[in-house]
Amino acid sequence: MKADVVTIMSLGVVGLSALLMLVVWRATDFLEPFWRGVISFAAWIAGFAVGCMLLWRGVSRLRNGKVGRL
Amino acid sequence: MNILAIFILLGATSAMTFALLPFLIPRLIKYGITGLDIHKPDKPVRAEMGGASILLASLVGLILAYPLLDPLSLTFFAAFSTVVLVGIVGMIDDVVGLRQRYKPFLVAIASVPLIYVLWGRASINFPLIGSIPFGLLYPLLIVPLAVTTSANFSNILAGFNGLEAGTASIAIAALTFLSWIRGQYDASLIGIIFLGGYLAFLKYNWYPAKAFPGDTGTLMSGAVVAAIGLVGGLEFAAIVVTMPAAIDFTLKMLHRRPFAQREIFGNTTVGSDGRLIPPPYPALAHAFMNVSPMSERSLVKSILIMEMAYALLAILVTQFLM
Repeated sequence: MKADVVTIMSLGVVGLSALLMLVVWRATDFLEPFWRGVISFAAWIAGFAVGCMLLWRGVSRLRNGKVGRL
Repeated sequence: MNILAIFILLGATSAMTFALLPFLIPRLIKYGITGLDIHKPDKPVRAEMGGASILLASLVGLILAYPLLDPLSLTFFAAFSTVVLVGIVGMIDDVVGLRQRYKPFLVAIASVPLIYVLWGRASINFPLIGSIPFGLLYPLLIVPLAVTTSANFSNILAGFNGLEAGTASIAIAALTFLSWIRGQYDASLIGIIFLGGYLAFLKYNWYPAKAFPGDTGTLMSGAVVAAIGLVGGLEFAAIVVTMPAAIDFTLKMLHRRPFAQREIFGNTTVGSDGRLIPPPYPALAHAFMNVSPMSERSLVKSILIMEMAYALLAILVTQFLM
């Protein structure tokens, strides 16, 4: 189904934001584990919010069934 | 845990929910606890608060679980109490209509039994990262926040026939399976008791719906997901299965006036060909409708496929990366 594009895009958003969390976790190993966790989790939330915004923009471009142009 | 006892519990709670609904629906309509099915051309009146049948059936499940699985742990009772208390908050909301600002506080108060039994826990496991220590913030902040967030997320991704009961059944089934194979029987028992209820309710909630779950059903399903996640140490898996609702919440929050979109733009309408016409503000259901014009039934199927993808992801990540 064409609508499955939304599911695939959302999995991309979740995956990339989780990857960002992992990168931040690895980059902050000089901090206490608690603060590493807090900062990494915040990075995940921020990445997720930006990803959702991009998902909506992408979906808006596919409006009116123009998904075949992908 | 005895496999026969599990099937008896699952069968008993689903049979009880199934038997209660034909009795409950006419009475809910009689007392005016109803809602309009706005995605149908004739907008029929349907019974609201159908989730009360799941709540009542879960109490029967508890009575049956007592002799079948004796001794039941304090952790199980605490998690069960939290879910039932959240269900009662939902019932009050369905009957008298609580103000939006009070609901999160009441749901957070309902998580007190879970806070008590999880007082000694301090960390959450993440894949590829390991354990992150949160200290006292775990029982004091993360537990009530998890229950409140999960309950309200379930309440947000709703409004189409079969969506609430369908997503709840998939999410609870995935977490129950995970807790079962990881030996977290308190968590899996909570899941089994409520899974039976939601699966039976799905028959009445599926297109064309005869009953809506109301806040009783939606808030309670979120509380079940949070309770299994917290008790079973499956917090990350619980986050993953909640992702479709989290995406819907985030999309709605991205709008300039996040709490006033329905008043400004109105609801989704139905075209003469039965296809849904979404209002122009961001939401997960509107994203699906924008990509491909579809009927209510196709939309719900698409979102349930998405929920299944996240449930599978939660199982795979928990089993292979943690």
